[in-house]
Amino acid sequence: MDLRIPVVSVCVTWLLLGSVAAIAQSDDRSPSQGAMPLATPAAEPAVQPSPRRPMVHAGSPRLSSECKVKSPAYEGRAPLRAVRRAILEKRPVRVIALGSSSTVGIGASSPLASYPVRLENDLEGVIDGLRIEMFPRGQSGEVAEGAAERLKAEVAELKPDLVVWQVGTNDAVARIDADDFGDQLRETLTWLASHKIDVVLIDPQYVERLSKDARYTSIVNEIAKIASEKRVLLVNRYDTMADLAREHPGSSYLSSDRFHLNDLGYRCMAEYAARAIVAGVLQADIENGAMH
Amino acid sequence: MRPPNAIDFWRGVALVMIFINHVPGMDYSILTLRNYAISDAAELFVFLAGCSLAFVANGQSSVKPIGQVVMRLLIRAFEIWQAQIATISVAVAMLGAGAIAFSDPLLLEWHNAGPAFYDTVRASIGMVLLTYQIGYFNILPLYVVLLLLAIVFVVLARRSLALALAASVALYLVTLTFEIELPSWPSDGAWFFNPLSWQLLIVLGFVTVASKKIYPSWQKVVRSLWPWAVAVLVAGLVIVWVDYRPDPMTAPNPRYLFLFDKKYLSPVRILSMLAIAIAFYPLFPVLSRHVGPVVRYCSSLGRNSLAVFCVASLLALAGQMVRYIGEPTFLLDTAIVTTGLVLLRITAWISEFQSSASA
Repeated sequence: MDLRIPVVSVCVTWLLLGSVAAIAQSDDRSPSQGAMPLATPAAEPAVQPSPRRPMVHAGSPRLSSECKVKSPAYEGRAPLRAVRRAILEKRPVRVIALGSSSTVGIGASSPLASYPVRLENDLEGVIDGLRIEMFPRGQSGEVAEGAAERLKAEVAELKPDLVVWQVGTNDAVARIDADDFGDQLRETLTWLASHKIDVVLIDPQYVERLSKDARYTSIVNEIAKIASEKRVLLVNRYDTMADLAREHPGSSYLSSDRFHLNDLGYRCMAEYAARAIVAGVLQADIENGAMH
Repeated sequence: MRPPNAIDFWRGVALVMIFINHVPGMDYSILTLRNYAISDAAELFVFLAGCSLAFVANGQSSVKPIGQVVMRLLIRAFEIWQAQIATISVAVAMLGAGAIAFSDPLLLEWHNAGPAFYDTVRASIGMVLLTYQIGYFNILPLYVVLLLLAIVFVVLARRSLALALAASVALYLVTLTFEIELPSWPSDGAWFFNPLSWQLLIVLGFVTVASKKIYPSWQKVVRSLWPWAVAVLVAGLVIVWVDYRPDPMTAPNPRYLFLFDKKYLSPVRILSMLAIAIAFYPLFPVLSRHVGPVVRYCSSLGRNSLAVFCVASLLALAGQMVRYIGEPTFLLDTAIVTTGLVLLRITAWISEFQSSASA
């Protein structure tokens, strides 16, 4: 089923802050400019909205009806400057989808397998001129520092503009202490920021059996805490899947459509991630990349 | 059944460490090599595989015909391939059974197991081709390719040991420089352990043991390197404790030469492994004298390393599942480790019984 919708342009009402030259300057990757915060708190935009023309034209990724839930699809307001820069430079945006045990998308038989392809299509459908080069990477099972090392190596190899990172599942499953996990996540996010690589986090799946499991939820909470502290976008997979579970009672139990909730979770996750990324690009556009 | 020897003993030690490391999150992981050195138990295991390769290739006394050696290596590679297919199949079944028993879909995606359940057509092909691997079940595919590559190096070594080593180093350097890797399929990405670089470690193990036979002064040379090896280990210990790792974005090219990368087996990991081998080489006779039961236990595991490795991998997965389903406590971890060690010894005993019965 094609979940994309025709592009309806969201008219960003601010006019251009600076000239093209200013944008070129804003795209400078000099480290001295990199120390600025990655995002602004949701309540108060960092840059006063000034009348200007948007550089990036984006529609609004619509949510399919079954993915509409009470919890917000994502948290935080953070500019995805590297993605915006790639769009303006008219080159493909390189995206690592980390933690998706994805297979090559064509003909993939399940939502899990096709999530990166779905995300790619959703994004290309709503942002004018956007081309995505998607690199789905599964996680090997290593936790804590092992996983961080591998992520850094992948990033150094592929030089992405954006990492969409399903984080914490391996650690939650391995019952890693939330503080140790948090320290490692914090360090990795700092490293990504220092190299001007955008990141969108996706927290672990909701599993009914673990909904009252303190260790599992402590990892989920730790991710939310650090995402807000480091000001990165966080796709609320856990909360939204919990909503879905409430709205589709019985679907998580074994039945003819066993593990249906899981499939639905993946399908919706792609839509939520698309929304988060579009918001991040528009946020960067609002700020006009002035900090890069 | 051969009596305990250094290679079997240390291989047994590596197997125990791999078992513990493969149940991440346990306090017992503090006992494993990775907390004290830049290299870990996987390197030790592969290096020792190279050491025993020298006995397969050269024989204890007379030189075996090369055809026989090649056939032996091909059969061994085939055995390990079979072991991998069997082990990964059981692992996938365990995850499936766990998912059904506990109504927990998360288990279906553990360690990249997703394709086995959601993309079965491709995953079943990839499993046979060894291009589909799941987390913690990726050493045997490496081992299969290493044995196949070893055929080339063993043939070269018949002409000259230096030639075999040079060819191995050349392949290693080309692999790291041009970042050549074996692709995963149907999952994207590459093999967890890159055989094209890891082959150097097996060749180094082979050369170390083969040189002992060829060069009478070899042991003296190794002994003279002891203080240097200890110095390297101390330096490694400090690096691990301060948690230093080079930044892959700023490392000069070819960057894998300068990182601490496990996939490509960066040189520093090889150096660390060689230092461990040299530094701990004199320890085996001492341990044999003072902790005989431990030496006999580990040697029995090492003698039957393939069977023990497969069972250890599955026990580790069972341990992970138990910790995931239940509440992990130190007591539970102790039970997992103790049960594991007992079952590994029983596995070694059954494996030995089998081979003596078929002999």
